[in-house]
Amino acid sequence: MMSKIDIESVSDLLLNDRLYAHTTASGLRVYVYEMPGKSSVSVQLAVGFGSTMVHVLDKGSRYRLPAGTAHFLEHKLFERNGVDSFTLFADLGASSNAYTTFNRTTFVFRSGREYEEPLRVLLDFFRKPLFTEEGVEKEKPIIEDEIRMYMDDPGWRASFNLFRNLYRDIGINEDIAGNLRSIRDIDYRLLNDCFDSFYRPGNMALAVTGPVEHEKVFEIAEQLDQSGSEVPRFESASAQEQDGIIRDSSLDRMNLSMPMFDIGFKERGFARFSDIKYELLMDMVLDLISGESTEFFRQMYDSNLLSDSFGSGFYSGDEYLCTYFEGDSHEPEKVRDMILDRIGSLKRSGLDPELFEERARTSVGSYISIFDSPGSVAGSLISCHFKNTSLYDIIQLVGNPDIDAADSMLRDCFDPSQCSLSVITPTESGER
Amino acid sequence: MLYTEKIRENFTFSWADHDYKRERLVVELHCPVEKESMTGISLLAYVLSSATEKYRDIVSLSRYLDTLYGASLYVSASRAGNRMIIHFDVDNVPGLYLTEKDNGYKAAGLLCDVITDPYLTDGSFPEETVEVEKEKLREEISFLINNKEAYCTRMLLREFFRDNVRGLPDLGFIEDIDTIDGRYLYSLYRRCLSECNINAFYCGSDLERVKTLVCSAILDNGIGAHPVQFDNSPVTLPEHPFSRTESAGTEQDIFSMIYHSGRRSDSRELAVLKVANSILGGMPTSRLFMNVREKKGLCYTCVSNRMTSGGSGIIIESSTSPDKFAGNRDSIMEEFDALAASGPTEEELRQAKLGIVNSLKGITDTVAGVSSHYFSSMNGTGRYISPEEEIALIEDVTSSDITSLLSGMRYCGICRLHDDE
Repeated sequence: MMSKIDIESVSDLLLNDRLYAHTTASGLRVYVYEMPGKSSVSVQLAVGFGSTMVHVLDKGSRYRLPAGTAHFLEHKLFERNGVDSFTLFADLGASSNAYTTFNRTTFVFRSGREYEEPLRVLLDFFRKPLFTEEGVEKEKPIIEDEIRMYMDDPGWRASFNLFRNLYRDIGINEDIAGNLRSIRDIDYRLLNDCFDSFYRPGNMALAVTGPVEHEKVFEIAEQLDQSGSEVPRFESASAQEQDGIIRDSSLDRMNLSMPMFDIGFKERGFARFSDIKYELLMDMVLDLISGESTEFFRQMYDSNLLSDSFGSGFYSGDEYLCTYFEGDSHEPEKVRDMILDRIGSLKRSGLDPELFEERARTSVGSYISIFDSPGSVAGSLISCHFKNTSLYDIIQLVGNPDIDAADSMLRDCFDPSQCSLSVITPTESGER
Repeated sequence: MLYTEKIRENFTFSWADHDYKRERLVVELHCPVEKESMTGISLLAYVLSSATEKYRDIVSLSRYLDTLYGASLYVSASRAGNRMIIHFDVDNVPGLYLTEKDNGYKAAGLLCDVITDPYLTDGSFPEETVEVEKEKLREEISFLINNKEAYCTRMLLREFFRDNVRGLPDLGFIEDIDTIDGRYLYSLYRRCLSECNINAFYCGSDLERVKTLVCSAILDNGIGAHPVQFDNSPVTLPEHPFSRTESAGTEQDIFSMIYHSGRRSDSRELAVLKVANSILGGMPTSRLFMNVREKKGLCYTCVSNRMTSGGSGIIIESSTSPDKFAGNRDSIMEEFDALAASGPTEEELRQAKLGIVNSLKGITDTVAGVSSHYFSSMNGTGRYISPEEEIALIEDVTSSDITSLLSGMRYCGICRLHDDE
């Protein structure tokens, strides 16, 4: 396949003399992308501790953390001696936020050119925090309201019902925020232990992008020193997920206009998804199955089986890979059957090289677009770090996508026996 | 820097300096809001984005966008205050990084074709396409219930504006959809093209060629040749606050409240509104977040948003468990009243201004930031206010400006979704 970009020149234009990496004395990996023409600085500090990482060894014995622990820790970390972090950042003209995903917890701020002091404030939160019983208990009603808020979101509910259809033991089957019962089991001691165990510089990465100088960032990053921290109580342990799905369909009800569905596959070949090459290819494969550029999409769209909300994607971690198709339809079962037929037929015929070539250009566009804003560069640097890859590696992959590898992935994934359908259907009149 | 040229009285072409990894061309056609035609205009967005004379179905159009390195084409119709805006937007990577240097010009050409050269059969939109897209619009209107918070605020705005055109539902009426066919829709489009005002924006590396392309597409096709006036009648505030509750089977009570001045606002007042909203509930250090959520633990979500339609207003959205609803609502009202009566502290004022100013400075970091600021300014005040000009207005806001604005607003009502069972 001919590359659609001049890799050397793009690398020169986008990467050379701009991207710097360094590991501090404490083990924190720091990435800096200098964008002198920009006016805002974006900072992301990510910890390799997410909602799915519930299996741990506690002094050698297996232990399952209460669902929602990583998320609870994220809520409480940004509070020190009763002072809320948002106030400290706002005082310095920076806006801050934090979020927990399946695989990590990320703390972000965006500032003007004056980023140094907010960066020091951010790093200071990762010294030994002081969680108190009172502070932790006070947070519980707020998190309960957050959990209820997600329960009112039909898309969220359809996704987590799907994960529960597919997985027994992997933490993906629990809501990121946990549930109303599990968060009662979280106390300040547990949060302190999790902090000591997972919030260690070697398990974190910092990305700073915008009008910054890498030398200065590296100097400030040395401030994160946890040399005096406790010996960790917990060690990560792998989940022991059995083969096979739990149920091939589920039905839930909400006040909706039409049924909402999530069709998912419990994939087996998740180990190779630690290689970002497969992530890029999976994006392409999913688009070639049912993206807007396929006749299959038009057939579904024109026969009113799908709405504009239809989409596909995947979730991957060290222990799972879940591919999915989601949307709204009056006939979710028919959509599932048609998707299975479509995949079966594509497996037999192989991917169309012309469509693959066209879709490859979209990957090139997406890659170049990353560099348009400090925020998207910072997010990509963090993603690459946790995938053990770099922005330099990605350019090679998008410049020369491999259709044979994509075909092989298509054949290995999407096993109909590992498929489940989660449907949220409208509540009938008079029914709850 | 952003530059504006009036090509004709009702046709503005603006462009910004380009040093980005994306390019963007946007053309907006502004038409008056009429109850009779708004459903048709909403449907137009679906039909126009599905085909052109050259790319006659959604698949060939999508495949062409793929070949333009994932250019994205977006057509929407939305009601913004007293006008319906048909928004055409194409966004792509510049040719600089590609082996095909004309990428941006081709994308601009596609956008012009979408506007001026739609796919027609026998002088009207194809009935088959119209029937498919009617179903999509029907679904889109019915989907509004799925996002409970947005649904609640829409309900609030309809209640607030009542007979004013600003209160008409954004996407039109389900019952009107069946009356539309391809011939009617095309004649409606011709009328929109003839009567509209045009606002175009470009930020890309091929300015002269793209400007010529867009200007000739507009002028040669008689677009905006017979512009009509918009209904600028002011909003009449409800005599008494309204309260509406709808059963939605939700886990939480979800509600929206509105405060409004009922009079037109100028750019200075809009700057005061921005700061006031930021202090009340527009950021994570605002009073609603810190006091109602963090101190009193009454909810997870409690935010305020500015409203500029028909004058200055503030909409507050929150959700909480049903047993905390009354306490939550009353606490929110206490926070509003306290800020209106005593104004912000010096520290709150400084923090809010600093946050807004830094965010305005960051607008020029992306093409998306530049274009959305441009259209928000043009559609909000009728003229372009640069980030620098806005920063100066923000810096001038005082505590007494805020008390004066907020105390001039009236509590107008609340809408609430909850579970009757």
